[in-house]
Amino acid sequence: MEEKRHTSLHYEKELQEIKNNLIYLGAVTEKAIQNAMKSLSERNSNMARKVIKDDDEIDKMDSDIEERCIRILALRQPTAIDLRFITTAIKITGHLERIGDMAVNIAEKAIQLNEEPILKPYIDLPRMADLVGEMIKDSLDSFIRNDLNMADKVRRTEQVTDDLNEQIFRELLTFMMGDSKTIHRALMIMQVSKNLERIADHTKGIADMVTYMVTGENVRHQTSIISGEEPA
Amino acid sequence: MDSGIMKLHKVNFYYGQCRALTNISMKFVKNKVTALIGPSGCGKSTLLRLLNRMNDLISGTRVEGEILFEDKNIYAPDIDPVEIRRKIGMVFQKPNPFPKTIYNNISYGPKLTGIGTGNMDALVEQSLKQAVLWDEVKDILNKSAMNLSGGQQQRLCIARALAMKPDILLMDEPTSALDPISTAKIEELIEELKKNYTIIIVTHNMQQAARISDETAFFYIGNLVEYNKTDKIFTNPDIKQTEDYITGRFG
Repeated sequence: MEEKRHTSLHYEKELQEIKNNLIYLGAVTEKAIQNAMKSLSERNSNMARKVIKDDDEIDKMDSDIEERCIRILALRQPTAIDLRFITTAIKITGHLERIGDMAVNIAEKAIQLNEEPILKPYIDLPRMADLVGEMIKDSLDSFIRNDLNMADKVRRTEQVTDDLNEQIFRELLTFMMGDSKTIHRALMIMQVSKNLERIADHTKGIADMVTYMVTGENVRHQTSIISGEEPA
Repeated sequence: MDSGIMKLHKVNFYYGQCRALTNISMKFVKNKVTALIGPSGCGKSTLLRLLNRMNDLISGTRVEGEILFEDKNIYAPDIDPVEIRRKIGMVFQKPNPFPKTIYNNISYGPKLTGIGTGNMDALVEQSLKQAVLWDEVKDILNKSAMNLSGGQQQRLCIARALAMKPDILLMDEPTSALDPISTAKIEELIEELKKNYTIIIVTHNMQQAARISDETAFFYIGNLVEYNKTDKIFTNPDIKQTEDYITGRFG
């Protein structure tokens, strides 16, 4: 959708800066997830500690974007597409900040798991992490391009990550039933999987907000009800 | 949308050869506030003045189509424009009190038309109370209205219009000459008045239209572009042109 420029170029610039900062924050959180997973698969605890430390930067970016949005609400009193853009931006930055927290959770589990013998080769977890990374990228692309098809794709993929999480859970259950010494490690791997599944939920939240921004229709709880999930 | 107190059917309006309004069909809902918005020269004030035949006073103007009030075309030959203006009052951009006392500003119109002759004091008090001005002026009713502040003068003009017992109140940018506090008082007053009156307001202030109106009509170059619930217009308008205007992507 080709947008005309605002009569106030300063306003135009302020909105564009929020968009740019969200894209950057998205890239940083995507990298945080990649590194957290890499620290697990490569048993590199230093990398995990860096993910934890760098989360402060994600938090700062989130606060900065939120402040910019509040400033525009107070000073510009946006309406229509601008109002929907700002409310969407506030929600998206919140989702990205939470994704950053999930990366920290994974990194913390990685540090603990790296201290112990490997339970099993990681196969499904990296697959799930790749999928989730793609979802972060797609959800932000849908935001930048006002692309409803891309938002739908994210919603569909979210179901796949739910299935993968359940598959990982069942597999780990067999380990725990077979040998009680594996329970501690299996539970931590389950938490990693659960964190990835929660990240997928957040990307779906972003996709739902994009649908709201483009169409004005609130689909957040509709989809939750349809799929029988707990509302985000 | 509810049934209309006033209905326009294919209305065209001309200043000489120049068409200022094109084929306007719409209806105004009883006891609601309707905001008319649009850039300068879009025809919104022209439309407002058409609704109580104020444009009759401008020579060389011509109306086509029908404007129905109480199911009668207000431009029919047998209609008395003075009676129309009594039932459809108007408040202007700048407060324009008569150079008389506060009391006489209110009583002047009713005296001429024979309203409230039984108890003029009660009518003056009631009108000033409705305009939320009574407490401020009850002790100075015999002082000149010209000594009041701008905001008080504008509320006096609203009280003056209400004293004529109108059904509809037309307001042409009633707060554009007022400070924020006086503006807030007028906006609060409009909220109260809509319980008993139908209000149609022209405003250039988008936030004001969003705050106080129930319905909003967007005009551009004499055309009615979009007319809908105010919530809808300001969060998710159907027409791109409306969105461009209210978000400041215009011109």
